Amino acid sequence: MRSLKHWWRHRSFKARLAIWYAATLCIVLAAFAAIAYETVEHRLAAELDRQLRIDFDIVEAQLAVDDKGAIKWPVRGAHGDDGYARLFAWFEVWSEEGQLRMRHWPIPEDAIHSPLRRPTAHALKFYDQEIESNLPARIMERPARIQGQGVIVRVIRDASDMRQTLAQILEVFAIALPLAAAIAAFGGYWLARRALVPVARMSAEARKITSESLGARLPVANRHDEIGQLATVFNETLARLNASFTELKRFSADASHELRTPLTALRAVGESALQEDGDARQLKEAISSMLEEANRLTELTDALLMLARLEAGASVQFEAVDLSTLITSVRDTLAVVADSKRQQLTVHALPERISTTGNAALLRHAFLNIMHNAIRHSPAESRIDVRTEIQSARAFIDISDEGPGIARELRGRVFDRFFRVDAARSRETGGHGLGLAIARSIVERHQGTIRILEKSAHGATFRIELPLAPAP
Amino acid sequence: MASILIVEDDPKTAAAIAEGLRRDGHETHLATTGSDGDTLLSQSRFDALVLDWMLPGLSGIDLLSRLREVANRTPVLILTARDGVEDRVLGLDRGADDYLVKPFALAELSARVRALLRRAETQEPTQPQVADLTLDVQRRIAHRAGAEILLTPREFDVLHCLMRHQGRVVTRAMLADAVWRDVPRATPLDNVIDVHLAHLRRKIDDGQSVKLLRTIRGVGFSLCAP
Repeated sequence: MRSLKHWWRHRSFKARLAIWYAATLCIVLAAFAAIAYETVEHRLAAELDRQLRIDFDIVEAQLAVDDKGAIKWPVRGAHGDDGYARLFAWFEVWSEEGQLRMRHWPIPEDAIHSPLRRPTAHALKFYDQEIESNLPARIMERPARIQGQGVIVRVIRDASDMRQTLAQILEVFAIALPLAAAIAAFGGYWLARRALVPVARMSAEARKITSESLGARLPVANRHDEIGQLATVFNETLARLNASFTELKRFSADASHELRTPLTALRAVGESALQEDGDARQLKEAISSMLEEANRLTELTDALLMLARLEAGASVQFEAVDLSTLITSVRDTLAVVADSKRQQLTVHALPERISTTGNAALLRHAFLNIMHNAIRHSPAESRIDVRTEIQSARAFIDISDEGPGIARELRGRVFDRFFRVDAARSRETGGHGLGLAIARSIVERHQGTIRILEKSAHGATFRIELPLAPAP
Repeated sequence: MASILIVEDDPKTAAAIAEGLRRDGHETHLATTGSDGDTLLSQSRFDALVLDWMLPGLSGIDLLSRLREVANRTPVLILTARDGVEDRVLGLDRGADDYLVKPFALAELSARVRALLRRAETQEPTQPQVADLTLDVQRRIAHRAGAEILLTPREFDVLHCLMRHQGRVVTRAMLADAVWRDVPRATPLDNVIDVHLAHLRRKIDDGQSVKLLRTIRGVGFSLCAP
């Protein structure tokens, strides 16, 4: 059983399908053949039985009892024979006590090797019996009355025609069934192969796709059939894979750029200071500049580590946090920066308490990043508004500014690591390009979302959505 | 003058720390492995220990546990690149008195060592003074050359912190910790601190011939008499 299973598992899909086809067809055909055979046999037997009944009627009508009480066949033919020529049947007449009273067989009495046994039942009865070898017979027994004398008449007909017909049917089935099974197996194999050709082509195509050519797609012949659906799904997976690969590549490129820039500056400033015989003031200047670059590197490393930790799902302590207090405190912290640009940083009508569950330090960090981002990218004397809304156990905090806004097609990407709307301005406005990515990681860590609203006509509106703590 | 043991395996870092602490007037001793540190600690008494967490062989944290097991109460400042909250908790649980994450400014290290050693020292004055700038800590008022300077609460806290460390460099990290009770790392807090310092400078030094508040580029700020 186990080896059969093993064997089965090692067949190709085509072979298995072919075997399935053949087996199924065999079962169906065998059932069909059995029913057909039964039906034909029944029909033929019924026909014989009908003739036997006619025979019986003739025999019963002709028989007579003579003076001595013997049963005779009084019919005389035109040629002086017994007149049996009109009768196709052979018959026997038995007394009710089981004594043979008369026999009419087409062979002489002494040639009968195996006489039929005496009838047992006193009722109408049909049955088959092989009288001699190769001589099948259909037999009918029925009680009759001949001139008041009760007898049992047995009528017999040769059934070899019927048997022969049935044997021929069997022969046909015996040839047709394996043939049909073979055709089915072949057809199944062929069909499967035909159906699997696109799959084989797909696997050949897919094998060619490497991390270098993730942009390639499988051909979709018909997107409505199963193969087409498979190719479509595969292509979608490829697209996702490609996107994350591209993102990874971009991240590595950006990270190395961001890390190497301060390192390069560090080296260059150090080397040039070392080579020149500058005075103490110049050397101090060089060292200060190097320290600034070291600070940039520190900041970048901290941000990268923080992101990595957030994304790796490091354990964070969650507790009850009041968002109202948190937002107000972030506003208080950043107000001085906004003031220095003569910007108006307004937190609008905050509910007394917005209870959520989270890590206060992380959430504070996220809000600091988003609100500081708004301040940084807004012109002097503009407004930054923070509006909060509570809807079905979620808090929606909108931070809108009057800055240049973010082009529709870039909105999904501003939260990517190191993504900058305007690469040229990155150093001028400062920051490490990870602030929004960190904010998003933090918010998502709190089962929230962060996105840029579509409606903002001028400026950008960042919406932070956070689940509220369930009411106690 | 205090005697300080530094256990740090990176020679450059160790040398820089030793140099910085020597300039502060301390006597420094150096061990480059945990077991060397252990030997030195069992031989003589130190006023403070600057201990690197990750050391070849006996790690800093194990050395610390061993130290506390034999009831050695020497104040310990742990240096580490591990800044996770759980690392911090582990370090303090094992008996560290303070915790400094690498990379750090030497100014901050020396301030923390000072704080470790100050335990027994006198209270800081309630009216600190730098040149003609005075601070009334109780009433939260500042005067320069007899004239009152109007300060916001945050500006006062920043000035107070600078006053406490007068003559020395105060880093942004130190200000963030002292005034905002926050870690500035990877946050926009640096920007906030810079704006406060700009305001403070305007209020203290504008129109004065002697400038007291200095920016030490790449390190931080310093309030000192000329």
